[in-house]
Amino acid sequence: MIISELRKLWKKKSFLTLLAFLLACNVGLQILQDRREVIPTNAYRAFDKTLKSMSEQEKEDYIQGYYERVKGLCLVEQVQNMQAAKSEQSTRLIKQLLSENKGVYQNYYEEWKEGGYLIYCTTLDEEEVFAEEIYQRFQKLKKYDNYLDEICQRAQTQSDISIFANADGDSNTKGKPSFAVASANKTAMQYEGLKERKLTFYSYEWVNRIQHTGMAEIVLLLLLFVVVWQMFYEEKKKGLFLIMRTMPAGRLKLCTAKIAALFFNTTLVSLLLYGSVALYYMLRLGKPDFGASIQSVAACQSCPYLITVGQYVMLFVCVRILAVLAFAMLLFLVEVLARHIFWMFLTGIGVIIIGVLLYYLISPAAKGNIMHYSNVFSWFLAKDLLVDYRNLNIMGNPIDTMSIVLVEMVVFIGIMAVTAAFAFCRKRNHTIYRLSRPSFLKRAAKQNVHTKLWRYELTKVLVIYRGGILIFIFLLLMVFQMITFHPYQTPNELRYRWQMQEYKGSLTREKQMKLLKQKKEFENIQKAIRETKIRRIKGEISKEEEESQRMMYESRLAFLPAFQRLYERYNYILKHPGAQFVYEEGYHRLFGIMDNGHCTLFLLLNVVMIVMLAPILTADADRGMNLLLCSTKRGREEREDICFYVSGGLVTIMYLFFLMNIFYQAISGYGLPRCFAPITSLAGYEQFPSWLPIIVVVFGYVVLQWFFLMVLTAFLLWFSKKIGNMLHAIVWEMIIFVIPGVVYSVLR
Amino acid sequence: MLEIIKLTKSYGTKVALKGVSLNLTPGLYGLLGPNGAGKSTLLQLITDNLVPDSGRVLWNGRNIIKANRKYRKCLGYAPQQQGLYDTFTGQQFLAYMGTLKEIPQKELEEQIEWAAQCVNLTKELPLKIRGYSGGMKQRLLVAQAIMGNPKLIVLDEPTAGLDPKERVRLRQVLKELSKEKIILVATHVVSDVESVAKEIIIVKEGTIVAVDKAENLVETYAPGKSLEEVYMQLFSQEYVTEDRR
Repeated sequence: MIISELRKLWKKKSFLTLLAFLLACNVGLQILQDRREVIPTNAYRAFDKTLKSMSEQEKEDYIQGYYERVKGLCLVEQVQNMQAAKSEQSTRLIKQLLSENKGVYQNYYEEWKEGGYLIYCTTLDEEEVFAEEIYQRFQKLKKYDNYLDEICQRAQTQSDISIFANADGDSNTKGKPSFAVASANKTAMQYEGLKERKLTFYSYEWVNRIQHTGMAEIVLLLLLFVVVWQMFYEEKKKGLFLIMRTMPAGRLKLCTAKIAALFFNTTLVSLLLYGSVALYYMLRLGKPDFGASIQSVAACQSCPYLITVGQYVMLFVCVRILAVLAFAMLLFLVEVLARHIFWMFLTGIGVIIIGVLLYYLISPAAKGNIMHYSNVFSWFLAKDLLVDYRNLNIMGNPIDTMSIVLVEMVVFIGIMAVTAAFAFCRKRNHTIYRLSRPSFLKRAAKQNVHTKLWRYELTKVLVIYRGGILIFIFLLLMVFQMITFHPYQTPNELRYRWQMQEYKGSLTREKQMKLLKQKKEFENIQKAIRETKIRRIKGEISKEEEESQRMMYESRLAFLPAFQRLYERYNYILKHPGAQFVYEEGYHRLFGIMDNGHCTLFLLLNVVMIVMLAPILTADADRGMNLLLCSTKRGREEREDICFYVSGGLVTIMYLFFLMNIFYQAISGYGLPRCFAPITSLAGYEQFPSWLPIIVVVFGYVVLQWFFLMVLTAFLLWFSKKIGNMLHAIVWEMIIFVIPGVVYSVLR
Repeated sequence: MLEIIKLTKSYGTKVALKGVSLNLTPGLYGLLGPNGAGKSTLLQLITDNLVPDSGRVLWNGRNIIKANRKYRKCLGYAPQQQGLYDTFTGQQFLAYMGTLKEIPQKELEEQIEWAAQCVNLTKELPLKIRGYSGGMKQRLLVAQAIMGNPKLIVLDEPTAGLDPKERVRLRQVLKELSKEKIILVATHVVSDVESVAKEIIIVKEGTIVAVDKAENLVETYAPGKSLEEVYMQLFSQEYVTEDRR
């Protein structure tokens, strides 16, 4: 019976498709999240590889050296940037920095000047964040023994205070230590065993990442609802429960099989979900040292158990699965008792919301802290339970949270299972009812009789074909991207931007003079540096004197790359009369549809369009409604045209949000200055007439892109109709339009 | 008047209709025949959802393909399938069909009420279709077919899933409507059309084997017996063959 229960779910194509889709979404979201991280994942992988062949002492030396080196290089960069500013304040700050870090500048200047100093990251800023992160982790590990001593010390102090209090004659606590003392002693005892534990240092980023899979939990909850829905509600809806209850196998046996299948299904779904994330991060970050003690992972240092990283991961997954089972059992019980699916969703979401409120409103150190831990939301946060050791006051006895929560979960699952089985066996009415609309909505519906065909078609697209959900998710994603967008510009780019702002507008005599003067200045600096070097070689000046003179010039030379770009623009303007100085990066970003970020967004827009448009002209054929619709006058003559207009409108709304996102990124990151300047001011657009302002080209570009989307909309509708089946249409359209784009994006 | 002249339709090598000819004037016609006899194909040709290999369908003397727009205004059709839009209410669905039929806004509400009353669905109109039973969906399809005062109503298995009370009620409604309209009802259930049909059309393997009043058919094929016996007699060979299988 269990096997047949399992087959019901795992042989369902719709469930498998949804599962695959959600798993892919989950990994996709992890990829997106990784792209937003300052430190690239490859850095951790390369760093761990470097440490692999080293002893712990060698690792310490290496990390110390690496940290100092990166800090030194950052100091040089900082000084250079400040020197370029040429203000009094910056000069003062430079002096202060140099006096605080004596010799550092001289040590790392040559290396900074030569470049090629980056080891794990692509920019010095990233490298600094990475070095800081690694250094902090290492320091934490180094001080592990102190941390343990501190815990024991705290227990001793608590104990001393208690003895002192008892001596004072506190009758209530006489003979029995207070909870605080007992808790401190228990904590000390728990950590006592961890002394002399051998710690092996690596970044262990894999362990950190698999514990912070925020989206995975949401996907998992969605999947739980789907699993319970598919396993029970569908059967209830079809009236199969009533038939099954009459079978000779027995109701209890049937219910037990269902509960066992639910356990298996939820465990498998959880394992697939966390497994896919773990596998993804293993591919990105490399395999961690599973045999090392868990205290080697900086983030898990306070874990009080004598376990390895591998055991910790298993324990982590087990706790999560137990939490998942508890939640699934609750949904199952509601499903057995309730007569509508709505109650399952309401209870599930309600329990989570209550859990979140209890978790955040009640502090773990507060009096009623048991409520902080005794809720479904807290059960899902396995890391808190495993790492943050805390004793709860259970009738004056200190019991650790992990034990309490484990017992709670097991008891909860047991109660839910027994109650569900009892209810299943005793309950006779397993039919479902429909939730009827409130009377005012019914009245509204009655008044809503109209003859606007486009409104009916719009309702069909948004509600019946679920286009509304797709559009909503797309819009949310666009808004999310806008909110979380943080532009990053290299120092050279910033310098170029400042210079372009200084020179903005048409080329005037003054600007030309200034530019040529600046050019001359740079030439003189280069000449002076060469001469200083020759003088040092000849022995006329010492090395230190050469350094100090060069330092003076080099700060100015930091502006050279930016000036060279500016000078190129100047030459370009000379060749193209009418062109102006315009900082063009924002426009390049705007027009750069094949740039990876935009390309991904545009592909996403295409995917949403395909999934939304495919059913419009195929679903009616699938459900046999085409014959009926085509037997009417407007159904044959106008409906398809109206469907195109409605689809076009919806695609336009999505495109507007897409544009809003792109424009926001271009404006907030780089700016779109001087939009009324001739388009020929932007390099690469010299073939356009010089009287055409940039804004017109931008507008034309937007219109052209919109027109392309409209053509694509028409094509997708036509193609889907030709294919005749929604799923086939989606697959073929993905193959034609999306996969080449993905391949292009990946190969870039 | 609807004239069907030598209609032929094949699906690959299988011939579904072989030179079928018919003349229909106002009244109710029962189209009887076993599964695969060609009933649905004939209805789809009449509703212009299929193009014949040869032959013509004339509406008031004009080929329906040429009189496309005018013909559609006169047509009401209820197909066999029931893949309706679950999230629409019955009223929304009827309003949508009314819009497709170009019923003016002023008349639409009235028409919906009338059609719903005819099929006894007035109370259920504000409910979503997903809550409808099979019989209710069937009645909703019939309701949309009779909306807009069509001159020709084509119904494919309209009584499937209806309880006896609703079956009788629908029969009476169709009988009433057939005074001014041509109503063609394709069905397996002989009793649905026996008492109300002006003529019974019996289709067998793509050809019309008999067109006559019910009583005449009984007299010709099974005197003193019912139309059901006539049907059984006409298709007895098939039953024997099916039994042997």
